[in-house]
Amino acid sequence: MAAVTAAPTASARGPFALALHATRYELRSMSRNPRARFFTVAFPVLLLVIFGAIFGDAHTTVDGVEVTVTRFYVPGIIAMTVVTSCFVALVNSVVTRRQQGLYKRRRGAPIPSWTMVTGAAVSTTAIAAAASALLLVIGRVAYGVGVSAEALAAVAATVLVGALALCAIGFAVAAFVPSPDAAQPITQAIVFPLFFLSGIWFSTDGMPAALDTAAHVFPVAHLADALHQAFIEGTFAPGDLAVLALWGALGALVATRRFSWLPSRANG
Amino acid sequence: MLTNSLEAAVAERAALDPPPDAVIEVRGLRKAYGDREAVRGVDLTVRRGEIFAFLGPNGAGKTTTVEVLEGLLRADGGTVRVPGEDPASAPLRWRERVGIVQQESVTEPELTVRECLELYAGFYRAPRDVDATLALCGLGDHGARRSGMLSGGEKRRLDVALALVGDPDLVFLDEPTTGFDPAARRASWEVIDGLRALGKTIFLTTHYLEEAERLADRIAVIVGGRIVAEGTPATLGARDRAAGTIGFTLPAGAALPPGVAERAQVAKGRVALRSARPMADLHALSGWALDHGLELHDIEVRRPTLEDVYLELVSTHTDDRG
Repeated sequence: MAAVTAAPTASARGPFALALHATRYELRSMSRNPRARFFTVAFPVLLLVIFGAIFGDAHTTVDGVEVTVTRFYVPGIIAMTVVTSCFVALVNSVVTRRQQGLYKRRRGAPIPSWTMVTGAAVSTTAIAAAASALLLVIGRVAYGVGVSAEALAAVAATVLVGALALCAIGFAVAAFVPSPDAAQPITQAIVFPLFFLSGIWFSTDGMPAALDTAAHVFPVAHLADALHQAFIEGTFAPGDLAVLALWGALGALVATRRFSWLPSRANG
Repeated sequence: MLTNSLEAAVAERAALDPPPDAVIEVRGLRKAYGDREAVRGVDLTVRRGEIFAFLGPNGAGKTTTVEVLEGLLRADGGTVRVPGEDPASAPLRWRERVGIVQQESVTEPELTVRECLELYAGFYRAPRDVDATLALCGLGDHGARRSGMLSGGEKRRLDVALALVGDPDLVFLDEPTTGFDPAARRASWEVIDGLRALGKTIFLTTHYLEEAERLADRIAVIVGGRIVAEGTPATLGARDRAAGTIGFTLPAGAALPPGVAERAQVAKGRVALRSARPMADLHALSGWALDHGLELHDIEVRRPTLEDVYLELVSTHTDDRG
């Protein structure tokens, strides 16, 4: 009963068309989800507007460079957005979908599992990139925080590397989160201390060296540093990007070994 | 136990000589979680075009068996062939032929019913037409609704539609009507009848004996990880030969005849007589009634229901669970 005249399906056009097909529906689904819209787009914008209104034209020091607070906050809140959408939201969504059996259903279809991972990672990265672009525009229009073309390229590259790395880490962490109820506290417990220690909400220039060293074990500090450097100095931060990529590779390795698409089972 | 050795002999024969139209062939399937054995040597054969009902209490190994057949779990032992392949190592292409309606599953709640079907249709090389599939599952008027806003029965029909959109030969239905009201259940049965008409092979698990009786060509019962009975709805657990029950209200002042009185149970004036030879017992009763000028207005002979047979099987075999 297959339609004879139908165009070839995504599956018939090969695995990349299939991944694109999955991504398109993921994006449609995410863009209609009120929670995703708030936490990955509205909340960062709100935060930037509030910080801008409170601190106005005050100055802060990043890596010895004195800048206006808004010039400091735009890249910082971009870093936060990338972490929120690609790690916090991704882990919550993946664990919920796994527990609800949505992934189990997908496993029943003739599609390679990497197309599902790609669908989730690419759509999340696209949302994070769109939110970052929105923050850049608001920074430019509302606070006159402009960026050069080189700086823009460096910011874009950093967002991309950071987003993909955090997605990989997200799948790895999701493998160890037992239930949707546990996902929110676990991810918040991970990211909140890191946000404070990584110079996202205030400059960590005066922070004790030991704490700074500890913060730089984790990817969030490197993402924030790379974005600050890209945004303020207009240059790439290859060292930070390498650490992010390393964390991403580690996440991918752990996820491949430990992640299961099936819900945790109560009994046989 | 005579029946068990008979069943063993039948299974052995089947193992030597699998029917040519077998869609599912399982021999000696085993699966454990840690040191708990969920499935302890299961044999099953399902033929093309039949509706096969798989029954058993919770925790009996039903879902585990089904998940092995669906290729979602790897067996610890035994051989499994589902259209010709071992599901655990079958190529992705194999999934084109198998549709799965899982027990607990959600769809993408933000997508419309039609978008859900389009998403899944894109996963297959030669899917069914989306509109025809919606119509088949009684969702023709619901295409534009968000799937998260559907009622329980509509969601379940969407599950069926998503399993069918790939145009599979074999469909697994895991408790398709659990929690339904009677009208929704009947509507679902009509959908399943429609699948039979399309020539699909259906592997059905259910807790509703009425559903199995109404739909299934054959039934297997699993208890404690083992198959304890297999047959048609009419013959399962020797139902066709099992004792029936003769029931009637005892007229006031009457005493039951010898030969019946010792075997009958009387409760609230009503006689229940378990009878392996209903003709002989009815003959004795009618002779006795005529001799005493009695009329047994409400006499009935009741065959054991599928539920009686099933509960008997479960209680018998639950005792010897390891």
